[in-house]
Amino acid sequence: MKAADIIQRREIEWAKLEGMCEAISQRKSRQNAQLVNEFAALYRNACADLALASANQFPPGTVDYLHSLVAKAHNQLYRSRAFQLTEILMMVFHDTPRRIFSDPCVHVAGLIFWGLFGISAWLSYEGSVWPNFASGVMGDEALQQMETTFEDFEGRTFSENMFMAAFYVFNNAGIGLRVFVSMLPILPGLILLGSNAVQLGAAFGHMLSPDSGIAGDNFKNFVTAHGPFELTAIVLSAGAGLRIGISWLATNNLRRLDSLQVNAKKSMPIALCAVAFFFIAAFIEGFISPAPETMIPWFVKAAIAVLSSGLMMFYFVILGYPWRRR
Amino acid sequence: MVERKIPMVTKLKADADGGPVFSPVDNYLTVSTPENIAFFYQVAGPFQRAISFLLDFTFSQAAYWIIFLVIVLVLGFVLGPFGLFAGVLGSFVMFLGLIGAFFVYWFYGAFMETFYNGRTWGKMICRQRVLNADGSAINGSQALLRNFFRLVDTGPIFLLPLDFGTGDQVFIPIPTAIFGLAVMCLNRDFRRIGDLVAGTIVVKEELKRSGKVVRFTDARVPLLADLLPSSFVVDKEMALALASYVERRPFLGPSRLDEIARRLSPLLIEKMNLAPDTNPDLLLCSLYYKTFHSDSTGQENISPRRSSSPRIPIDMPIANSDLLPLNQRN
Repeated sequence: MKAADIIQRREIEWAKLEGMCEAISQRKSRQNAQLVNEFAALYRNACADLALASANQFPPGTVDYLHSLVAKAHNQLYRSRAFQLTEILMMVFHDTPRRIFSDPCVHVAGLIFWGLFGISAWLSYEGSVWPNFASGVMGDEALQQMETTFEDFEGRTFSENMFMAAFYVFNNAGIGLRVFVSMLPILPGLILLGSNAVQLGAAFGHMLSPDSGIAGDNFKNFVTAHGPFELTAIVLSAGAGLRIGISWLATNNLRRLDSLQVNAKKSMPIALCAVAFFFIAAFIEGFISPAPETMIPWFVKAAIAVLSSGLMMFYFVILGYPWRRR
Repeated sequence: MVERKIPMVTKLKADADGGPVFSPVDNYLTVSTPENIAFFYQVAGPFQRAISFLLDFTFSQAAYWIIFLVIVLVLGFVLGPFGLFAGVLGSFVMFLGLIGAFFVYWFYGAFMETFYNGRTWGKMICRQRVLNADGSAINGSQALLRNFFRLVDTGPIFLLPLDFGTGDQVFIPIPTAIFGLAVMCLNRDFRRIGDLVAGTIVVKEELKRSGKVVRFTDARVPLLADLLPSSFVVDKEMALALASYVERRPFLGPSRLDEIARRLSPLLIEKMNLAPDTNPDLLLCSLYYKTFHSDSTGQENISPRRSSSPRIPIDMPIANSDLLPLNQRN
């Protein structure tokens, strides 16, 4: 049998398969079983045709056409999978905390952030060691502005709170993801992380030092509740990014690209965990933090901080410790 | 399984022979499936992808603003008269707007690629699809990664200083996408940084349109085909050469056809013992006919249907001089 015969005999099925590709890709709900069966059968036939066509003397045009037809059908049959619920639960409560617990990159990022934060806070608190450290870091103008903001701070209305919560999500989670992504070439990410740590530290040290007066009190009142979640989230996103950045330098016996992909896959949940923490922090920062002393006393906010730190410790340490399975 | 292979069509000399392999200018991804066959995709290049990205950006922004405005209008009209809109509700709308902006900016692409099988709106229009580098479908985590790392690809950011007459310079960030372009040019599958991190690849998913065996309206073709000795076997490579020649005939002028055909025809004429003045073009067409067409005739019963599947290529008249070989005249 010659090519022309075979093509003529088969092209009706090809056209049908082509039509079904469109139909199947457009329907979003579950496909009916008969349709899928028929589609799979047509697809297998087309595969056989392609094998035949490329093995025998078929015109290149036909082979080309069959390649594209099979490719198109293949993508309809083997589809992208969304996240499964059990997988998500396993990921959230088992894999991610363990990874965070045992990932040296997260520890290093934590050390860098908290170390720089602590040093910077101490330097600007203890004016004697490095005079005017805070104004050197943040600039006189910004420092002045921060002080006046917190001096006049008298709480917000509920509407303002809502708006600001969304703004914190947009801004802070955005910064977190930026840190994560810019860790790929390592240096930009480290600079971003370090500058955030130093600036935040300087702000904390300056505002909490005794000569800040009423502004310092308001500042303390404002940052206590959401601080733990927000600062931890920065560390997590930086740690996740650092793992990706390190992975293409220290490849651990893999090819460079493979190492990059393997580690990126591993650190993705950590970055998402950071985003979740940013969300929680943003809502605390939006609704609880700005409440004045008379409405929510400071010890309540401190309790929230302690509670959230405890929750995170539970997540990182209790869930994260590599317990042996019985 | 993925292997780098030059598609059959452009493979002028089989690998097995150890002969020279001419790699095509376009890049292909060859995929072996569970059905035990291999097919190939054409990889989408940087500028095709730039178009789909711009479309994506436009569409996602348009969708975002339309939904936002609809919510504002509906809430305004329904609840406005009760005086509810101004305070808490108004800021609730702003709240939704900002959270929405966050999700559209960071998660639009990942969402679409996860739930629409590797395609965003822009890719649907441009007929592109994101695949795993081995040709299988991507998963959600890959979609997230490749979209997060777009930030690196669009860099470095150029700050365009603008002065709106207020005396203050405003810096407008312009993403230059130089990093992404450079990385795409440095690997052979046009993968940007996000693709490399996530292990994905973007392919063109188009149905090729020509696919049928060329039919000849010229009555001399089957006549000459009958005269060709049946002992002459056309091997695979020659079949490819013949098919490439005949499929390109409509795009070439008569003298060019003659020039090309004359490379092969003397050898064939000698081998098949034909008349030396046989029209080279006609000879190749006849050989094609003999190779690909059956002996039975009259198969023009192709039903018209709305489909892009094989259409019949245009036939091209064969030059009129020296119509038939000498032994067929008179």
